[in-house]
Amino acid sequence: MEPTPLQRALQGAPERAPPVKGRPEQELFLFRLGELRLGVPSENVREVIRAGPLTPLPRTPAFILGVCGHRGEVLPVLDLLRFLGKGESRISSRTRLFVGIAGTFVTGVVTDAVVGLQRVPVQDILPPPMGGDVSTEHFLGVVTRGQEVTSLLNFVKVLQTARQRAVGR
Amino acid sequence: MSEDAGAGDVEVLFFRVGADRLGADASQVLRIERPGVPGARRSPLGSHSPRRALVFRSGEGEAEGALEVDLVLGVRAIPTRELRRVPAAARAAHHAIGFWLDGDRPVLLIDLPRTLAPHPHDIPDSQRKAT
Repeated sequence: MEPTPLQRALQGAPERAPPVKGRPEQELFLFRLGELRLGVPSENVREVIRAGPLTPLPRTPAFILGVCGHRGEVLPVLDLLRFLGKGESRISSRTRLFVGIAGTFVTGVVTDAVVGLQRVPVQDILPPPMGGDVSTEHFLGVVTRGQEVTSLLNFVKVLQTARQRAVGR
Repeated sequence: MSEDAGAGDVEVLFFRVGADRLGADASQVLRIERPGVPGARRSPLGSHSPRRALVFRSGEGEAEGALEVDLVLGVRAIPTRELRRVPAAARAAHHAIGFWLDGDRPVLLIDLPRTLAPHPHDIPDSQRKAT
């Protein structure tokens, strides 16, 4: 008996769907700070909180604005603008902190506005511009979407350097 | 002046220097006096316009030290579960030893004898000429 067209088609069919050559993606947490649009890998972000009253810490570097308490934890609050030498943040009632984590270090980071989460193909992440200032080493790269340029922070490196600067004083 | 400290509590003396509310182990404080305590070594980290002085053992034999403060708030028994260390990512001055979490508001706790010999970086710029 002749196989039906369906049977013929099934004879050459695979048992499971062939693997799709996926484009690896990176999920980013995006936010605005001053004139900057910044991103950090989402695995480095635990949550976003309102900036409450800060307790100043004596003789910490200027980029540590103080500490705040959150869920029974004392978090140092980091001003990335000061850290990167791009000015200084102003804390207002609209300021939000993201709770960033890298290894055992947890810190609150000042943002002017949270943009949200976005998945970006890894191949779309371009290297940071060469010949920039010393802060370049703290960036993983840049992503351009239309007119908007997002600089991706190497958050692990940022916290490592912040701690070294604090201890080395 | 203080609440009774139960097991697992520590008595902390709270005070103000400028706008900052601070705390220190109450057992370090020998007495509270007017500023300008004779014979006591004055901490360079005190208030500019003090109204009280916390007198403590300086750690050098019987010698005394004094931290001049704006206001003494009182002594409170603080459960140790409400105490926190200084976060590793924010190394602070040598005399800053931790925090008491007053709700979500951290209150800096200091070691009084350490305020007598602060690292040069630990002295606020505004106070360097005065010391």
